Amino acid sequence: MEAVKKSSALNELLNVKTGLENPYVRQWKDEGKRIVGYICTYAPEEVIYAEGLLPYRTGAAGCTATDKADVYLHRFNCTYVRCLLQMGLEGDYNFLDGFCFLNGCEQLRRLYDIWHRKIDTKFVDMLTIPHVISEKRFKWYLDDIKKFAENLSSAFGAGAVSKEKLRGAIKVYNETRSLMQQLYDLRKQDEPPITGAEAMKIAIASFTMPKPIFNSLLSEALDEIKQRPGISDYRARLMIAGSYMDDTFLLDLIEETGGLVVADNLCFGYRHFVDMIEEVGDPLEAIARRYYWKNPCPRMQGEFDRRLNETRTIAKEANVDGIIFERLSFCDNHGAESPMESKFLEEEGIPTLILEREYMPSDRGRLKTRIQAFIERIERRK
Amino acid sequence: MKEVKEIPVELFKRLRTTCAVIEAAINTGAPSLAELDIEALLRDADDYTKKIVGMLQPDTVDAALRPKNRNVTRAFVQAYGEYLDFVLDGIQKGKKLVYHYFESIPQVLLSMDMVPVCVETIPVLVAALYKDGCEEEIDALEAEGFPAHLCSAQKGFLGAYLLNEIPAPDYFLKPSVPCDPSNLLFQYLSKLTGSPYIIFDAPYYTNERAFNYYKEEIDDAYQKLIKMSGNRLDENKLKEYVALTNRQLEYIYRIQDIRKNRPCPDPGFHRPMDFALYTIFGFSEKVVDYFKTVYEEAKERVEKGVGVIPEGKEEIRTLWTWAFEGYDLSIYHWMEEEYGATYLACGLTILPEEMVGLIDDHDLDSMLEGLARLTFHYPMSRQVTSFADVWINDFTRVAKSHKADCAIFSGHMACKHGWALNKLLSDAIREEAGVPTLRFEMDIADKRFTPPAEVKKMLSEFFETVKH
Repeated sequence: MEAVKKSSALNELLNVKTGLENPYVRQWKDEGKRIVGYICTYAPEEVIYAEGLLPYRTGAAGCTATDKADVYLHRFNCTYVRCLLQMGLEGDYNFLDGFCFLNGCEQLRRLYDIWHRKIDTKFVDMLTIPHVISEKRFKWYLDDIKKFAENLSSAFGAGAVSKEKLRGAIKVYNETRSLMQQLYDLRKQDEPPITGAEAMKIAIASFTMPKPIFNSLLSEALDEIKQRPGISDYRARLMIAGSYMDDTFLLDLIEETGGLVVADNLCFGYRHFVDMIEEVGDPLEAIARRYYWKNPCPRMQGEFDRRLNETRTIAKEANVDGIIFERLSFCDNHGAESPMESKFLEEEGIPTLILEREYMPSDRGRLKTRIQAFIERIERRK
Repeated sequence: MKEVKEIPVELFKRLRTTCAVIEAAINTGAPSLAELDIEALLRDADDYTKKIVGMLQPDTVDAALRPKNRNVTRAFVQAYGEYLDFVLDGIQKGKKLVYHYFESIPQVLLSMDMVPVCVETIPVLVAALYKDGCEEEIDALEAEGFPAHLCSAQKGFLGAYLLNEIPAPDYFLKPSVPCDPSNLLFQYLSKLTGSPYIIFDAPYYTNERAFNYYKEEIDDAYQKLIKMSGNRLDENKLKEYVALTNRQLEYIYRIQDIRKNRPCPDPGFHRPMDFALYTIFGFSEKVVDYFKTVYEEAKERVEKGVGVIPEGKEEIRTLWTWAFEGYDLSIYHWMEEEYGATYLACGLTILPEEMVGLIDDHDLDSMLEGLARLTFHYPMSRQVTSFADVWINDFTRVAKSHKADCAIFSGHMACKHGWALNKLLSDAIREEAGVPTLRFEMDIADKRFTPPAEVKKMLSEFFETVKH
């Protein structure tokens, strides 16, 4: 795997491509090893990795049309899900040997129903997770993960995965979490040495390459980042939260308008990396426990206060001037969550902006105008 | 002197008055709105009643007065009117008020001396009955920053709270199904009112493992209610509500079955009323009477060899694979009259007898298990909560058993899961039952999304195609 490394570690992480254009994915396949896609942040990557498979988070960046997907989906479905299906139908995900779906939201759960009927992926499975967090309900999720692990083993012929392998996977993934936390800590500085868009690119890399390589690159890259001069010419320190986001279009737009994104509460960012897995006890249960109890997605009921507190804490620690809630059109969870969080945060004096957007980069002018106005509103308060 | 704050109940009062007005209009014997002497009807009415009459949707009232619909509609307004009296009385007496989702356990709440109100029924009825529907309420909620694509069946209710038309409840009760928007909007109202939100989790499967989990969740939910409220569950009362539920179920199964007859003997106008009374399952003898009336009228038509379409018209048997369009109930009468198009079943009223059966009332546990099974297979929740196969298989089965000529997927725009399945569903029904599907977008409780004239236009074109 070292062979594909060409430039500085930071440069490498900032320029990782997706799919088979990604040299790490290409090399993994060339070595005869298999890849299992997953979408939702409640999918336990460690279980896939422990089976000797590469977990690959299936973004849909680069998709420009949804004509094939729209045969099965509808304009009321979010453009991320439609783009992902489009890419599946066009064969962009033919390199996947398996796919782990989850009932993370209304649209993703139905994607399973379409995918396993219309796209020829060897192994397609669906994990289900309760909508409520409690010790009693945890057992359902744990049992489902056990079943999923068995299904993976029988599909890929590796036999039941050992506790040692699971423990090994936990170590690797915890190291990723720890390194990402260090990266996020650097962003909290008064003059952060990295932009929000760059941090997002590193997160994207983490989802699309073997974690040991990513860890090694990020470890080196952190040293590089620390040597950089801090960024001080921003007009507002901003936090971003909301719907699924796996490209830097919006972050670029915010940062070219004078904002600096210093924190997030995204399932593709902070929410995925926060909270370590316990390295003692039964490893499968420890994995399940971390995924189930972690900083919850709005699909988890009865957790609003916890989510609001989490947003407050992140915002406070990063000393942000305002929070942008970005929501994909037709995203139920963040469609409802964003006005709720916004209402209570505004009452506390924290400026917020709700931006509705499509998954595919578009509507640049409107978005930019709203971001400009938001930054001006923040500046007037200073 | 301490100021006594009036409890806001305007919306319940408006609906109660409407039930009374419709009953009075039916009792005049007028067979259509054109033949109704409104002046005479309102001669002794108070100003409030007159105002409500001015708000009513004329087409809905006209359909309700039609001879084939009038007896069932009267049974409905009597049953629902009695229920609204119970709600208004319970609120005034300070009984514990519970706002719940339509897949719930009202029998248990009633047995605990609580006042259950199904959130979703209210906006759907308001949209069906009044010219302006619940548009002001929906707009009030959207003005808080919520997107328009969330469900109007909750938006309308939340908006009513924001407009001070309904009171804050003591509790909210909801399963975690069938969709995220409903969960989130309940959560918002709970946060606004400060009233606890009790959630029972529903798993993604329909097997016994899932059912056992679900039953435990329901048990926990009512135990939580007992603990929080201090009210106790009266087992004898529950037995009475279960007995009424079973009688209701027996008629529902017979009604579903009798619609297999050709021509279909049961008017489509009744389905939204069925839905509303499903949400107060077991409430009273009058609820049973409603279903008895539906069944007996249908049975009489079968015995006479007549249907609900004009004599000589060829029947087009329609299966509504999402649910009904809720804001213009006159379309069912219209499609029967204009196109001979009858209404066989829909996603908000389909209840598979083989899955639910009757509730065993021999002890508390058997009653709770039976009620849990009823809610587990409740219309929509059963089909929507799980993998696509459940929805597809249920409707393919009905398309075959009821010999549907066509299917209509009038998809509610908020149901993202439904729209993500509509093609698979339509394909399966075409391939397995040979039935074509019309798919169109609407908002179940907001006519502004797809106005009634548009719906009629789409249906007309489809029926013309199906006929040929």
